[in-house]
Amino acid sequence: MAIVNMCTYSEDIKAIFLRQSGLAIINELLESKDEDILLNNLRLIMTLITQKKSEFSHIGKTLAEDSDYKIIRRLIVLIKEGLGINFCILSK
Amino acid sequence: MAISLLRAFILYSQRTKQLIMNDKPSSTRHNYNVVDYLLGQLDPDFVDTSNDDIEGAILSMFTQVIKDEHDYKKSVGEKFVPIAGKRLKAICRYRSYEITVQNARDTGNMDDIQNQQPSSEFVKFTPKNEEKFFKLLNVISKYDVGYSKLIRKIKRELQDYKGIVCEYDN
Repeated sequence: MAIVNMCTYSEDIKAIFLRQSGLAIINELLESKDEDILLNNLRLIMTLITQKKSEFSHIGKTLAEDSDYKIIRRLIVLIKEGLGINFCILSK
Repeated sequence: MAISLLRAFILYSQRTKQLIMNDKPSSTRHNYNVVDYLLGQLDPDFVDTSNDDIEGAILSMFTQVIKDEHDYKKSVGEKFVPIAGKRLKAICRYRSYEITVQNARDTGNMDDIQNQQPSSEFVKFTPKNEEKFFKLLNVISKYDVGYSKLIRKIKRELQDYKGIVCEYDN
């Protein structure tokens, strides 16, 4: 959540996060079975790809296309199957 | 959140639309594709388990997916329009029930209520979702006679909705 808050300040912080293995962290956390961790990770992705009207950023495209659209494929599975734990559905 | 993210990714990569629309049923117990699953969330029979934010996100996402995509418009339209008709019918039924209850309270004659089946209030739209719902129908019917024909199949439900819900509320 702290990273989410930091990233809202500027595009530079987003770039630094992505340079420091940010993508790998995001991909790893997308596999988390903890709903709160997962939700904060989704918030982080949303913050990273949201751009101000005055700025142009490639982050959205980079995240979308990374590792053959891994994030998008994972989002689709999450929507359909939730966390993949029997009798457990996402509540948020 | 995941649905809103998918919608946001559509703006950055057209391939997102393909991945959503070409999704295949999983080999696990979740043997349905994401399009059927999400449209199913709008069905009045299952709407109790959904919520307004999710519903809004689904409607916005499909509007984005089918924009300028004739093939997707057709496949989403064929699945969404019957569900939309069913939903409008359920809302009209609920609104009629609400009006009957109100009239019974005003007149003090409660016998009328006993003849009516109570209906779930979850079928109603929030004002924002109502706007999104009709925007999606509008995008489906736009620019092509074939799609307008699709919408004509639920003409009766649309007229009833206009008569019972819109005019009564005004």
